[in-house]
Amino acid sequence: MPLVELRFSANELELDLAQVFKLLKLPRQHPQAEEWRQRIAAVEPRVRERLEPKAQYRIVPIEARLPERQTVVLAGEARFTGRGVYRRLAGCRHAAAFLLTLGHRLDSSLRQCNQDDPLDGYLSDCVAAAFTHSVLRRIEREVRQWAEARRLQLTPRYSPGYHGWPLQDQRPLFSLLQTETMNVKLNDQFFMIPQKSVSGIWGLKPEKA
Amino acid sequence: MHKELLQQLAQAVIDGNKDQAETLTNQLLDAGLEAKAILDNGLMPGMDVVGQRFRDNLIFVPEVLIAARAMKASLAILEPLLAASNAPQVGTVVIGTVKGDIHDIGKNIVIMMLRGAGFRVVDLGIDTPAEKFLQAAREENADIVGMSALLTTTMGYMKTVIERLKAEGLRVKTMVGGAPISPAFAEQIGADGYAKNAAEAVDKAKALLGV
Repeated sequence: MPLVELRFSANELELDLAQVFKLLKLPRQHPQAEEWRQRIAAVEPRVRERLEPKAQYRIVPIEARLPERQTVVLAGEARFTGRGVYRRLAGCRHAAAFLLTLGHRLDSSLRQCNQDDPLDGYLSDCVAAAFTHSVLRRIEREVRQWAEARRLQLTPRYSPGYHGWPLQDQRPLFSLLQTETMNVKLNDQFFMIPQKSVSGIWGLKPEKA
Repeated sequence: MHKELLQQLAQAVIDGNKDQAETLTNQLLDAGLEAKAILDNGLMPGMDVVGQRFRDNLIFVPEVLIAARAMKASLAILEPLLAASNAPQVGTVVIGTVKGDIHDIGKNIVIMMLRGAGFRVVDLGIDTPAEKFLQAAREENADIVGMSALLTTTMGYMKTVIERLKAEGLRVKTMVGGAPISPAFAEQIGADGYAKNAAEAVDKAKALLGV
């Protein structure tokens, strides 16, 4: 499948308040929940106006599994290595590699916000993170449609740096995409710049009978 | 009268009432109380309560930040006076997120809590190389070097910093923290202290300095 690019306007992204509360680590039933909702509402426009959301994904075949090296070979060009990714892609015929970013403008603004007022910075960071989830849901919806039409189901989302998948595998993951059009780069430690970017995969495996 | 105002200041910090904290700080100064006494008997008791509630899971990170914001507003008034009076401080902490790591929210919360507990804190920011930790520890005459890391790929650099500090013969305590850090890892790399959150960081820093 060719690479799919998604473009959004900042205003079309919905903000899931429950998600923001979760990211803030505040219980939904917090006695001052309404005050927190107001605080979130106050920072949301400032975050939203700096969003430059972009996303892309590509569904590629899994061509080989090399058990002795715990390696999965995708589309003949990318190799993911490690027990975690090897196990999570077990039984999958395809993988959907994705990358999303909220852009550079937001990054610099969040940094400044953190310096000026850590509370504002923390709230803004969590609101921005909730927006990444909003973009993720859009990508997932499209990938799921593609998969369901082929009687495939999605595994849970998985990203380098989590649950034993080495962060170094950002490189092969990026090789499956066209990251230059996204203006997302990896630093020496394989962190994505801009920071409010998310990359990862879903495995696609046959639906259970 | 001082005692009552100091209690009100502590409460303003606990409640996260920034305007009230500023007003009370100015009132206490106008009433002739020294900045150090306001810090020790108003701000610090307030932040102690906040830290305790956070440790007991009665309040959450955003609420700590609200309290810290009130504390910061008061400190902004007191700091020039504290500096001018050469009043002794609890200690000096040089802190940064280690090289290769660009996450700083946790570190910033630790800084605010340490300042609220009366520490002088020098923030080295993010992506901090060992040389910068060394230089700051030396120039600032630091008692503690604090290091933060968010990912397993960057936490190993803490060991590099600790080894460099030791090799240079700097008599400074080291503290580490961050999501992937454990007490076992801290011990393994030779850190003097580990804290799992900002409230613990204050306790640990005090314990390391015996205050």
